[in-house]
Amino acid sequence: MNEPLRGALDRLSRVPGVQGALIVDAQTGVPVLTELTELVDGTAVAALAASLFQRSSRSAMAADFGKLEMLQLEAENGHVLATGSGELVVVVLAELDAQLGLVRLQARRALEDLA
Amino acid sequence: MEKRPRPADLQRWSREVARDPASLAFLPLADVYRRQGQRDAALRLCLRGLERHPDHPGAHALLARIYLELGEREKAFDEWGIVLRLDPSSFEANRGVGFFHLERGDPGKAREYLERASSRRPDDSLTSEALAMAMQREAAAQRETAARRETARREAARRDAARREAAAAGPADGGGQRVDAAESRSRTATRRDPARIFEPLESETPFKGALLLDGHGLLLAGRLGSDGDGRSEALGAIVAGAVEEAARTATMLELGGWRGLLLHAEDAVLHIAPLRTDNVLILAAETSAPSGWVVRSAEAAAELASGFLGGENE
Repeated sequence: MNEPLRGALDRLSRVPGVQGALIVDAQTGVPVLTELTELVDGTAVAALAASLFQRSSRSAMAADFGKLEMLQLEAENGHVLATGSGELVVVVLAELDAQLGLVRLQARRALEDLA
Repeated sequence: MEKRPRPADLQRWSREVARDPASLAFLPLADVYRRQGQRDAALRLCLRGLERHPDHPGAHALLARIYLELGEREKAFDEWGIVLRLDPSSFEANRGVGFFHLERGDPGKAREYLERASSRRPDDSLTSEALAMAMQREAAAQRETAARRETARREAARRDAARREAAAAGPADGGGQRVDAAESRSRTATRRDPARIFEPLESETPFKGALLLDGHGLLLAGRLGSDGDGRSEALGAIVAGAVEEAARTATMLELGGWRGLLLHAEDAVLHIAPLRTDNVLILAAETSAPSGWVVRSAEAAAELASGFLGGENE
């Protein structure tokens, strides 16, 4: 099961500007599979991104906008992107000037590999 | 006043839980840990007990209490939601959900739950006070909405009158200038109507609406298409949790301050961003909207909102 996922994460992590890519358990925020540079604390990224995804999902549902498909957090020094479907969330940590279009495309593909 | 458990009770409950993991003794034991301030131990014990008794309303209520004391309000809210599904008449869960909605600026919903809690325990002063507060705030919100609608109605009437005035004057009688003057007066009025400050963006097809919120999630200006005032008001309270979480995530991952949160949902794309010190701007667009367009429109909306806030401060 891990081979296609590992391949998807590998493709994601090779997009210019990506510092790390993870597959995270949506409920517990525990990383299931990671591709990270040494500088990234995978446990913290997984927990915080999963929590943000869950909270935003609840907001989207409560506001009658339907299921959340993808979120992108922009901060002063970088981006966090998360996309999920059910139990797992694909999380990407990227630099401010990363190729976000490509990151989103590869994150969607990784999500399809999870299905 | 709660009865203090005897040491012998504690030992008996501990032994029971150790001997039989399915024993309900985890409930009083976890509650004692909670009251002693050992919240992590109480949380672990309660979660383990719930694995065996997932439909026990008392266990979910206890978990809600623990989460509340740990400052995890959203999780406590979720647990109370489960309690209410299992036992809709639960005083504690109705009160907890009522308080939660009151804090989040939704007095209508708060009143609904607090009324149920109050009917179960009319002598609970905390519930009665919160209920009175919810009713006051709900009435104030209704007055505000009515005032906004009245402003919009007057504005529409003023525009009609301006058009009629210009049409009656005719083009050969300086009518063009009169139309300009009438429209100028009308535009001035539009800038002053909080619901319409994002009107310049409404001609863009993917645009569904934009809202400017204050630091408490209360609506300051803008509207969501034809969805009505109620939904616009509610959205502020709904996104407040996601806003807090976005700021926390950015800070804890050492990414600096958060600048925006783009949410792609099934039926809409939302761009949520901080504005000035504690305002929040939400832009809603069709799902077909390109992400770049959403970001640019959010920037344009931020300019309009800044103008409005500047005007308010003058």
